[in-house]
Amino acid sequence: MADLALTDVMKTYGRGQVALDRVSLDVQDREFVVIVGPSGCGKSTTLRVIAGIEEETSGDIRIGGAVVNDLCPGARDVAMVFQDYALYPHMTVAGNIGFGLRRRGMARAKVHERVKRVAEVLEITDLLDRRPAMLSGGQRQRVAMGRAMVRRPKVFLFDEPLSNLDARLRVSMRSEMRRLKEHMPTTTVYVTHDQTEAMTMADRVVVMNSGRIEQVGPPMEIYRHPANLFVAQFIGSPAMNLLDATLTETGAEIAGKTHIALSGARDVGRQIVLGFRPEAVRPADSGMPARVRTLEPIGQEIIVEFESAAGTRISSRLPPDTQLKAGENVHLTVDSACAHVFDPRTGAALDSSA
Amino acid sequence: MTGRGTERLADLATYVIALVLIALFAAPLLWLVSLAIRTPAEVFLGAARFIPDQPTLANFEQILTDRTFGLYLWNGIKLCALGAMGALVVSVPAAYVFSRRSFRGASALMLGILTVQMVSPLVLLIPLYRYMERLGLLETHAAAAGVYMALGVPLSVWMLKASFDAIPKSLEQAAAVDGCSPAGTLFFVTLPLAAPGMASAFILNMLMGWSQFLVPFILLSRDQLQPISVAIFNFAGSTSASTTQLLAAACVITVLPAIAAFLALQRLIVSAIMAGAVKG
Repeated sequence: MADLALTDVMKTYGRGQVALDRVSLDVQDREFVVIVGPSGCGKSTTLRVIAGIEEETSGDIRIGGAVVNDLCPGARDVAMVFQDYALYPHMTVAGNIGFGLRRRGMARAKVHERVKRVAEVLEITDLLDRRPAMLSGGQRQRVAMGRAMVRRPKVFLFDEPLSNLDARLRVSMRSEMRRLKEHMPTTTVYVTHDQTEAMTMADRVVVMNSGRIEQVGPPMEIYRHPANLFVAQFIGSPAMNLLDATLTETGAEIAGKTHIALSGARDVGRQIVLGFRPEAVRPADSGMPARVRTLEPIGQEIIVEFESAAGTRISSRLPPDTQLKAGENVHLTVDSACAHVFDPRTGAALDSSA
Repeated sequence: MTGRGTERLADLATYVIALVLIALFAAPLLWLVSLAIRTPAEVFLGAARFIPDQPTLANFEQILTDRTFGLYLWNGIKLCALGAMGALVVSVPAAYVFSRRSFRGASALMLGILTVQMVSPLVLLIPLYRYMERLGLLETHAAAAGVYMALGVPLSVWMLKASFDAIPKSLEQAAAVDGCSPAGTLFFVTLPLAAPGMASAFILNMLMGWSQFLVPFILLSRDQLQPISVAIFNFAGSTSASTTQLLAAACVITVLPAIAAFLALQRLIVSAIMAGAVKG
C-alpha cells in the first residue's frame, strides 16, 4: 500500500516530439485513478513511465514517498495488466500467475497457496492447468488480472485492459473490476480511452490531451465543471454543445439574438463560448430558432440534432415520446443553470455559471 | 462452367509438373537404393534390372559392422553438431539485438551478414587453407567445425531474428514488471519462446554441415579425421566395380539421417507454441 506521485514528468523522443509535458499527479493510497484521453494523448506513456518500462526524460516518480526513477520495473513493486494481456504462452495459467512470486524467490508451496487463493477470487480455479492458447478472451483477461493481484503490489497499473473484449463482456468485467476494487483496495492507475469506464470506476478521473493533464477530479465534478473546452467536449456523449456568444448585463447573447440568462458578475461585451450539455436544451414555445436535422431513438431517450439559424449543430437528449419530425422548425431553450462559459482564446472555463 | 474446366486443367498441369520434379529427384535416390540391395553379380546388370532378383541386406550389414565406417559417421556428426551449436551460440545474441534494439546501420548490417552467405566457400578455400596452415589448425576438427559454424551464422541470424520478432515485446515487459532482470527475461521468457526457431536453425545447420564436402576435403586429409562425405568419395576413388554395391549402401546410410532430420524440422516449423500469447 502506497501513494504515488509524479512531479513534472517530461518524456520527449528523438526529434523533439513531446510525449509527456510536465505531468504532475498525486494518487492517494488506495485511490483508483483513471486516466482518459484520445489516442496519442500520452496516457499509456504515463503508465509505462510509472512502471519503468519507458524512461522519463526528466521529472520524479515517487512510490510510497521514495523516488523510483532509477529502479528497474521489477524493483518498483508495481503490477501491470497489459492491453494484449501478455500472458506467457509456454506456461500454464498457474505458472503465469505465480511467475512473479517465483522470480522473487518465494517458496513453491507458498506460491501455490497464493495462486490458488487468487484463482478462487477470480473464479478461474478450473483453468489453472491450461495454457493461454486454450482460453477465451475473457478468461485471458482474468488470468492477466490474477497475475497482477497475486503479487499484492504497491501500485496496480492497467493499460486499457477491457479494450479487447466484446461489448457485453466489457460491461460484466467492468462491474467485476469494481467488485475487485472493493475486495482488494490498492493504489491504482487505470488507462482507458473509454469515458464510460472512466466515469463508472474512478475515484478520480485524469483527462489528458497531447501530453498534458487537462483536468483532475471526481467523475461527476469533471462532468459538471469541465475546466476547459477540451474536457467539455471529450467527456459526455453526445458531446457538449458549444456556441459563440457575447456576454450581456444579464446573461449571454447567441448569434441570432437569442438571450440566455446567466447569474453572476461579468465583463459585458466579452466574446465567449457558451457550452451546455444535450440534457440542458429542449424545444420550447420561444427561444433560439432551430430546425430538426436528425432523430436517433435509442430506446429510453431520443438524441435529436438541431441546426441553429447560424448553422451550428446542437444535440439534445429528449424523452422517448417527443413528437418531432426531421426538417421541422422549432425554438430551443437552454437551462441556464447548466450552462458553461469558456474563454474562446485560451479555452479555459470562466466561473460564471456556477 | 468453363472457369471450372480451366481450373481442372491447371490442377492437372500442377500434378504433372510435380510428378516430373519428383521423378527427377527420386530417380537417383531409387537407383542408389537399387544398387545397395544387389549382390555383386547383379551389379553388373546395371540399369537392365531395376529391381534385383535376389535383393539382399548384406551390403548394409557389411558397412555397418565396419569399424572405420562408424568412425567416419561419427566424425561427420561431430563436425555438424559442433558447427551448428557454435552457429547458434553466436547467432542468438546477434539476432536478439537486431530484433530488439534499433541502432544506426542495423539494416545495412543485416544485409551485410546476408552478403556473406552469397560468397561461395569455393572462393574462400585457398586463403582459408593458408590461414589454417599458418595457425597450425590443419588436420583438426576444431578448424573444420569453425568453418561450418561461420558458414551457418548468416542464415541462422536471419532465421532467429524472425523468430524473436514474432515474440511480442509486451511479454518481455511483463517479465520485467514481474521482477526479471534482462538476463532473466531472456532466459525464462524469450529463449523458451524462440525454441522452435532455434531448433529449426540448429537442424538446418546440421543438414548443411552434413552435405558439406569441400571444407573437410581440403582441411582434413588424415583418414581417421574425415567425415562420411569425404570418406565415401575417397572410397569411390579407390574402388573397383566389385564394391559398387557397398558404396551405394554407404550412401544410403549417409542420406538417412538427413531425411530424418528434415522430417523433424518440418514438425517444428509447424509447431504453434506462439498461439495465444496475445489476444487471439
